[in-house]
Amino acid sequence: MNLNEIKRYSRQLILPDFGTKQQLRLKQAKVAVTGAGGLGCPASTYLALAGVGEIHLFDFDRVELSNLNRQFLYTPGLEGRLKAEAAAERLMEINPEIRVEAVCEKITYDNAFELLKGYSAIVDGTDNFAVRYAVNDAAAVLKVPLFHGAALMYEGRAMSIIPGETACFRCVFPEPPPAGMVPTCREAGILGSVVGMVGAIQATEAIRYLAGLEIGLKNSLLIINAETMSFDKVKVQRRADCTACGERFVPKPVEEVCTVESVQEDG
Amino acid sequence: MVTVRLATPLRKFSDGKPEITASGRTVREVLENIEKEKPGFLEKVIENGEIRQFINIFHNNEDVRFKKGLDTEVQEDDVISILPAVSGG
Repeated sequence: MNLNEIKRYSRQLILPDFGTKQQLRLKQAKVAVTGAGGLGCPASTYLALAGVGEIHLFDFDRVELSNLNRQFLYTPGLEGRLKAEAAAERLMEINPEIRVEAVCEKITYDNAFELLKGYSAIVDGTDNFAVRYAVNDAAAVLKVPLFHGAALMYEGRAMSIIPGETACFRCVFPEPPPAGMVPTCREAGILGSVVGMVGAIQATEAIRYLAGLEIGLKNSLLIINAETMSFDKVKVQRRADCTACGERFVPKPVEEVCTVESVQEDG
Repeated sequence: MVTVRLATPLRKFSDGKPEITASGRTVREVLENIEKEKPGFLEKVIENGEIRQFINIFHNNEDVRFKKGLDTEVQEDDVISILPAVSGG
């Protein structure tokens, strides 16, 4: 580490279980962040601040004004720009000691297994079931740790998936809900600070894991309710018959659906 | 009475509230009692007597699939959480 790095990371280097060894592990890590939106902005920012050496941001979307209540890496002047590129530039301004690359490609079930190869960890900040299941299945097959997060309205979820050790997203939810049951943030709304909490939790888990420290969301799904501010950690278990991480892998692409009923219409 | 926490997509059965109370000696009875107040609830959660694949029911933070399923006994002040996956981000 150079002098700049020692100064920059000094507040975390003095943590009781954290030191040069842990910092160097972060520096050597290469992390994929899938989605540079409401979860991806906070998650990638904290990974960058902590000194994760290489971050690849996956997003093919462009910045819209309606993103700006939560996606704090963007400013109104960036409207229309590719999110991954704009975010990568901003993150390298925030921490010039690291490398951030933009991957402006849409992740699908067909390409996920190739695109997500070779990472130390994946932080999932995608916004639809099709990509979520593709990322989960690829992470399971490629044996890459996956830090799951999701949010909707005032609810947040987080879970850490360590291949061969913990339940994966598909162990917990073998199938997505039918179209129309679960609305998206676009349809039902989301508050920036709620999705921010989830992204910060995903990043914290990923950082501790990459540094070689114990983490708290293995075989646990954290459910945050920001209306009551309750944090419930429910126990989850691996399923031997899981098609992603169980005894036999079975490819199971999930179709991208446009939910038509919003929460309001649905009830 | 037990506390039943409903994930955001199921809130139409709780008038928008994050949790409701209901009575019953098993998870099944609790769900059936909610159905009496909120018709249509049960079919969102159960199909052919089984918990739907995309729904998870946790009793005191443990997945009832790994307990006695819908026959899991519940006691006063227990907490049941019902949730499908959400995907927003």
